[in-house]
Amino acid sequence: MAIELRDLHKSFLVSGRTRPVLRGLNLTLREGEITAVVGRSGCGKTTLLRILAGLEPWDAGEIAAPAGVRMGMVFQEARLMPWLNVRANIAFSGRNGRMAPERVQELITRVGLSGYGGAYPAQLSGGMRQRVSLARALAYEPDWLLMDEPFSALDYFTRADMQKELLEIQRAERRGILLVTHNLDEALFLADQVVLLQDGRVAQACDLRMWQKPRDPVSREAAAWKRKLLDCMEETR
Amino acid sequence: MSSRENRPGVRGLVVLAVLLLLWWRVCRLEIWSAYLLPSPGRVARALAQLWTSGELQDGVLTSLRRVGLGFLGACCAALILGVLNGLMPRLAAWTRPVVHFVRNIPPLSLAPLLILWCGIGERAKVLLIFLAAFFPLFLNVEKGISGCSPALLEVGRAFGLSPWRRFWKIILPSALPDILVGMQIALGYSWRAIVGAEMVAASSGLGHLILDAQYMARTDRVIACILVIGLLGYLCNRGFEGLVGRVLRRGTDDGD
Repeated sequence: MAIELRDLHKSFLVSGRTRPVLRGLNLTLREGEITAVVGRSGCGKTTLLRILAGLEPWDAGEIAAPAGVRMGMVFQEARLMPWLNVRANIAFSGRNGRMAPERVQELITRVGLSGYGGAYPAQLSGGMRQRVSLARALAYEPDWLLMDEPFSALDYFTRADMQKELLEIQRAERRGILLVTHNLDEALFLADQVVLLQDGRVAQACDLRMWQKPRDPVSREAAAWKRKLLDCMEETR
Repeated sequence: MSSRENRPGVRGLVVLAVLLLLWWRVCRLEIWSAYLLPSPGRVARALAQLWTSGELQDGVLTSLRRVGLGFLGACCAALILGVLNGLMPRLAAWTRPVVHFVRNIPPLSLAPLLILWCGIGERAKVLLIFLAAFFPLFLNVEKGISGCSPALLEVGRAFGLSPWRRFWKIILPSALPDILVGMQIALGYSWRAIVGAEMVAASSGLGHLILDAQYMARTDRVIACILVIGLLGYLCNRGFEGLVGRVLRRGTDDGD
């Protein structure tokens, strides 16, 4: 289920003045691939994600997506329901609010939280909460996972674990993933396509499909790809 | 439960024992006459007398029934109106001045009017309790509902929850601690109001027993009834504290 964004425009009213955020954005999100969106703060990354999640309307342009496409959102903060335990938080997004206990357990295992099903968010670490948030999005059975800097608040080791889990999820379930990140290394490690957003438009789109996964972030190849990406970014400055 | 967790209860009992001892000692010293301050023993005997005659049980049941009715009515009205106000800030802007005007009027000051309008029967007393319990609960419900985190509401929208399901699955559970605290406060207010109401116009109930004892110059009975009121209020509060504690223990903060 590919998604086509054509000439997308979005403005916000800030202190009585119209501030354009997206100015004619064109992008193709290919089915079953990870697309990483990078760019400076305020370039429209999060707005793009929120529009796709149905949280913001857009002003002009077109989003061509198959009817009934489901978007599962993973926010920057875990945003779990504090009064629900891990199991109930995951089942929260199930179709019609219901979910088979076996499926919930399967997701708990998938995100590496076996034994924590009965724990409440306040009893979990930041990384564990973010895992629950990912499991909740997967429980929604989305065609696309939308992730807004989901690992930005995590330490190096937890972040690395989560990135590996994400790759495993993509490999096993072939879901499309749109990942907004500030971290170029993360984009290089995960993405099939890295999109550089600047002034509300796609300034560069680098195709990384030729680079096999799993990738070694400290290999010579990684350095070369990073150089290429940085050159792309440099050209657009 | 560890001994450390038991300590607050033990401390409370120690303070109670000290107060009782002080009361007993003051009576032994005969600083005041036994009429003004009867001894703990005399009060205990008065309590036993009230129990064996059945007056105490009747009074407690009558007061409990009135509190129950008034409190239940206040809960229904405060929940409905508090939710509406919490969900609709425009409505809240209209109703806020009236609410704050009426809530600052002591319910007991309305007793003469209520007796005039509703007669001396049960309706006036239940209405007084309703008025005492309604406002603290209403304000807490409104605060809980309107204070629901927009970030959590957005989660509901992102996962396609209808407005109705967002209310049941996000807004109401997030407001529950505030609602329970409001109910706890409202119940305390109800107890205060019932005794006042029964002292103004009633022929039954704990307030009436106190007034009756005063007319008969039985200070021991007055104190016995006051102690029973305190005990009932304490037990109600403990019950609610347990309920609020269970809800709050689950956590209200997800740490984000």
